[in-house]
Amino acid sequence: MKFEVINAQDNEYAVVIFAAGCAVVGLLAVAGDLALYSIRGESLLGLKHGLKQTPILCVAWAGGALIFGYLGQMIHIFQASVLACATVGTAWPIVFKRVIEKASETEMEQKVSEEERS
Amino acid sequence: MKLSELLAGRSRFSSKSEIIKFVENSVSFDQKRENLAQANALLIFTTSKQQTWLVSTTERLYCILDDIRKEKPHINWSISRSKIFSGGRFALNIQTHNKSGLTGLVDIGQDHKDWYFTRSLFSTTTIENSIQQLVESQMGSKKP
Repeated sequence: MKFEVINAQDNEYAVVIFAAGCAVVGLLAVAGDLALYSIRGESLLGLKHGLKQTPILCVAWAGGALIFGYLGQMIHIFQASVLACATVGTAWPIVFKRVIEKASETEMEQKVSEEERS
Repeated sequence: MKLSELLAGRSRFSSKSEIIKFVENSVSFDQKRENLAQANALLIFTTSKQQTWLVSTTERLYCILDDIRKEKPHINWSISRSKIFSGGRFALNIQTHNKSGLTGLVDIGQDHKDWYFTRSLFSTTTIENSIQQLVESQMGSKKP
């Protein structure tokens, strides 16, 4: 397997490859989290693992990473890189929350007051 | 943004040194006692259209709003040294409140409440400490 930075200019499938990479990393993240949960009984991703829940979590986490990775690439939130892929794959809910928070926050307007001589 | 605002506005915010220089436009500025060459400024709020600065001289703390849609910055208020220090000790009441994830509200003294500040500007220290450091660095060494 060869990891390398790809971009839309060099590879016409860069966006799809990136999104797929995010999904794979997402799957690995949930699998790693399951391993930690099995050994130490705690989840770094804050997930509740179980026979039924974990397969659903794998699909949901990987699917979310795929969609967010794809959309993020389309609107140029991040560069297509292994680091970005790993970040989106493992932490896309946090990144997604921050993007929504940033986008939905209307700019505050500081009030204006007249200075009084004192 | 409206076209009129675009035409009336400026292309960039004033620099820190320009904001400090602007303090001389204050109705409370005392040219004989305040030396702007030694004054310092702290950026507390920033958006694409507005920036808010606190400027401290040895005598006063000024709050200046720089809005690029306006021709020039605006002095919102100022507080004299006598209201900041009590018995030689820093006594300015500074309190913060939540507004949203990225923006907070700060009360500076009894008369200046609910001013926006940008949280990300204060990731390594609190706005309370930053304001106190700004003021004490300017006024702290001088006896009231």
